[in-house]
Amino acid sequence: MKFDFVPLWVSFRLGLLVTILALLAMTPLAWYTVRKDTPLRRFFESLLVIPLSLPPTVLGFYILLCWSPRFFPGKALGAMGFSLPFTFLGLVVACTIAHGPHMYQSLRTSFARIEGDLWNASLLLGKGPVETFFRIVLPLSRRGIISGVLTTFLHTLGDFGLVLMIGGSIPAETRTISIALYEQVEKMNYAVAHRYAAVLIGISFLGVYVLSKLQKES
Amino acid sequence: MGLTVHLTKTLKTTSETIPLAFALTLGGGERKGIMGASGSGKTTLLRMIAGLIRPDSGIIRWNQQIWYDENHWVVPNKRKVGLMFQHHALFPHLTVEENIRYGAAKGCDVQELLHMGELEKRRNHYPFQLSGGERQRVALLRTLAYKPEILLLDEPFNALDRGTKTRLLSWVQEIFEYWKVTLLMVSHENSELDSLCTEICSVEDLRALHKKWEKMAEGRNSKTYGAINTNGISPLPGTYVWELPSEKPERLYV
Repeated sequence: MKFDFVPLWVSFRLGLLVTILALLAMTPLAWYTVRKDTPLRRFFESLLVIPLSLPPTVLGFYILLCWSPRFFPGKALGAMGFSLPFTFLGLVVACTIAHGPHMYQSLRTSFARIEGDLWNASLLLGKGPVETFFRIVLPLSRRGIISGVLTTFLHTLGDFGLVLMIGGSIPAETRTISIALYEQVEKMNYAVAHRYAAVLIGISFLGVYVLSKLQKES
Repeated sequence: MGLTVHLTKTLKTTSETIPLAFALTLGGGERKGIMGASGSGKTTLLRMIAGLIRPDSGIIRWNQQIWYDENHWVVPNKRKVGLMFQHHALFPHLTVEENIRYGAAKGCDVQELLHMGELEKRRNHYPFQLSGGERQRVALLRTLAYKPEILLLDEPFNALDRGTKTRLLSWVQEIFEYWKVTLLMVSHENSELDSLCTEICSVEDLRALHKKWEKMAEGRNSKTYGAINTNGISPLPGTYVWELPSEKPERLYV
């Protein structure tokens, strides 16, 4: 069997969508938790970050249970015409829950480093909070954003357990490059398996290289 | 007219609770300095006026507009207050010119400001490439470019060597004369306030102040304390602002 580019494309699309979703969802959350240090923050933060410490299969199992028609979220999704298990959309949602916290942590660390008086100085130069966020906070968090984007993308790309639990291995839909690699190993097609692995190693190396460069710069 | 401030605020640090009370008036075009030791609440006062800290009670009024009382709260970006921070708070990702241009009011000539600060050659430099004195000048020019109605300076000459400080002081003095700035400045150094302000107040610890009052009240009538109470503000333990030069308790700024 030859090298199939479709799983690579599925993985790439998945990684890209999860990263964009995580960036959009985690940016306001991270900023909010940096600005408002309420007693609920730790509880909320622990809840958000817990997927990072769970085995992917455990997380996948409970996400699947949530989506089953026996429970409310599944029922509600069904009523709206959504069925998430074993679909690409389901993978995107599950991977955002599982790997979005990488984005959150990276952004939060970056936001927290910004001196509070820079924010105040901008307000006192007549700029509103939204303009200040885009003109001061975001540019100063550039490294944190890039690092969050890379870690979220790489973790999504390399995910195996969760993707298998949630999506199975439907060609051109949920069969990612990690799953394709696993299947080739099972079939003892080592030559193709090596190629899939080489692609993953190459992308990971590039990502880690950029991350270490960013760390050195900061 | 001008600025009227009557505020109370309780500061909570890890080791103690410090109740503060302030009363202050500042006419348009006036330049007032507040002197006091570190930790006496000077910075808190400026930040409350700027809207960065919410007071516990009282009122802040600028001309006819109420910035703060129990029913009003004007956000900092709508107050037209310029605050120069103790550590400058220059935007590190912007050049000197971009920093000054950031909040510049319409019609503000940034080139002229760069010229005034002798910063033309530094216009494309970033804050980390500047000396302490240059950063100071950029911070002041950035605040002036916004054309604030009140300028608040928080220990602006801290951490500068004596030579730089002297040069800067005379430069700032000229600018203030030229721009007719309404200024409230805090510092723990009398010499800085002397050269820039037309009036100086002091923040003192109330316990020390009580002793001072008692001494001064000896042989005088008891209006000393009455003046405070008729203002509706009873003496609180903590820090009070009062006017220094006359040392008359009747003119106490609580």
